[in-house]
Amino acid sequence: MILSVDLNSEVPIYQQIRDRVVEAIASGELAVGSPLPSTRQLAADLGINFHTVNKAYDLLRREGLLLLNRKNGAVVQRDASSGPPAAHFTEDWTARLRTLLAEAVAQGMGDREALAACESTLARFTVTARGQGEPA
Amino acid sequence: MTTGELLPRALGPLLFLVTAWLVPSLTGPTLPFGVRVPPAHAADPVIAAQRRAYRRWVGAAGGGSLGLGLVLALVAGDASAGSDASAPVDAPTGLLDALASPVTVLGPVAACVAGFVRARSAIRSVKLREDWYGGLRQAVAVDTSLRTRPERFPWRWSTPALVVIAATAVAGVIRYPAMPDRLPLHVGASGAVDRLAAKTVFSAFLPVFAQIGLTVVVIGTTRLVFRARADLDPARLAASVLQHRVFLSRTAISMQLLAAAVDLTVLVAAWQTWGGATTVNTAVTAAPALAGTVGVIAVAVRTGQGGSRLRVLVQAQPTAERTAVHWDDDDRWRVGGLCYVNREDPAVLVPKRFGFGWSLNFGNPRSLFLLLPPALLGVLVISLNLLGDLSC
Repeated sequence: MILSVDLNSEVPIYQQIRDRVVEAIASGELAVGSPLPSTRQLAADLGINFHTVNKAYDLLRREGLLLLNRKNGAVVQRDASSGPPAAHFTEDWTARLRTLLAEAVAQGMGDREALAACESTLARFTVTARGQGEPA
Repeated sequence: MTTGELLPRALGPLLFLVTAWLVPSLTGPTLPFGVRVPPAHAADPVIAAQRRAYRRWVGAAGGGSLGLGLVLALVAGDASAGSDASAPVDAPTGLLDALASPVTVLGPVAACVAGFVRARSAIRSVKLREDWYGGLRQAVAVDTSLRTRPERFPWRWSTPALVVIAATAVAGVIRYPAMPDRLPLHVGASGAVDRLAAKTVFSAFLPVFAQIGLTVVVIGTTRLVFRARADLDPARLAASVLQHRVFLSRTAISMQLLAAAVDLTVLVAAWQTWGGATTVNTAVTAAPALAGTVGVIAVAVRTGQGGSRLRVLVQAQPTAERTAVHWDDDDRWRVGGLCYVNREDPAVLVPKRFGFGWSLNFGNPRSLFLLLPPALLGVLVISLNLLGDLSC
């Protein structure tokens, strides 16, 4: 996968790494069993502190998306084909979605426009995820 | 000094000047003279003008200095050849001779350094004045597949070096009984044997040991840099990943062939000294190593740093993903932009920004460990030389 980190962004680097990995899993670029470089390797490639990558990987592990291995780096643990999410995930996610949609409403984005944006974004993920993410 | 003796003296500096003249073409368009510039400014007039000025400077000042040094050597040689060899050399001739070497060797180096510093600071000042990075999204990009599906090291290209070493060992075994009682330990730059030792297995097979040491160092270093990080361009990611892969394998192949070429030079020298020769034919002996060096330079010119000169066919990147540019990392490159010093960067080896190959991160203490093997090799060579002195 391609991992691009914006150095001027207000979003912390560990959060950007975590977000890019989640997006890569959603788009099917990464599937169950896909390897990721070790934290040290990725830190050296990005030229950033290794604790930053560690923080991102740890976040992904706690979300159940990544399996960390001291020796071989990290492996993707779940994707779209792994079944429905855990109950606590849906709860957290709905809370975050509420904030995201509130932003759209507060900024005057119409309901129809907000829904269309959701739909087109989702369509990009699911189409590619169905195409490549199926277990072999 | 005759004209024939001038050629080997001129060859090194000449090769250096040709390489220095080519270097600005080796790095990609967004890294002129080690200055990071955004793609939108890669064709800025100041860059083209500085490239021309640098080349004029290298050609005129560097080439002029080399020519002057050779003339000095020629004049000094003629003057001393006219007098009796045992007579003391008169002062003006001695001075000419003493001046010839620095002018031939240091002159071109100084000319290139001055040209580089000038071009770099000129481009940098325009970049800062016009704020080329103002308002641009700066990013660092990584392709994890370079780690999870790494390029394979082309080990089979080490075969030529291994064959040359084996051939040298076999030739040594066959010729051992007929070798003279005293064997050379060291051959000077002029081709004359300047140190001898009694015939032992060590002194007879010294060339083979030298070949093995040299090959291990060259291939070991190449293997190490093979895993160093790539410098990818976020504005054209897919292309730069592909370029990096080709660059890696070509560098590894050319370095292994260089090791074979230098081993061959050692074999040619050994073949002559094993027969009792007290001088070796410099031209014939140096030819393989020289050919190997020219080969490495040719591969560098065709490939470019990080594969920047390779044409690769990839799908154009969607514009939304193209908005970010490679971050401006000029501040992390010190000493005229040639030394990378970044304490926060865990990487030890990083791609050079001016030239071809990799450079150490001097901000990382682990870089010192990489400097250790060459230092040990130096100590080994010096102690072998001392050993040779004692046994004489």
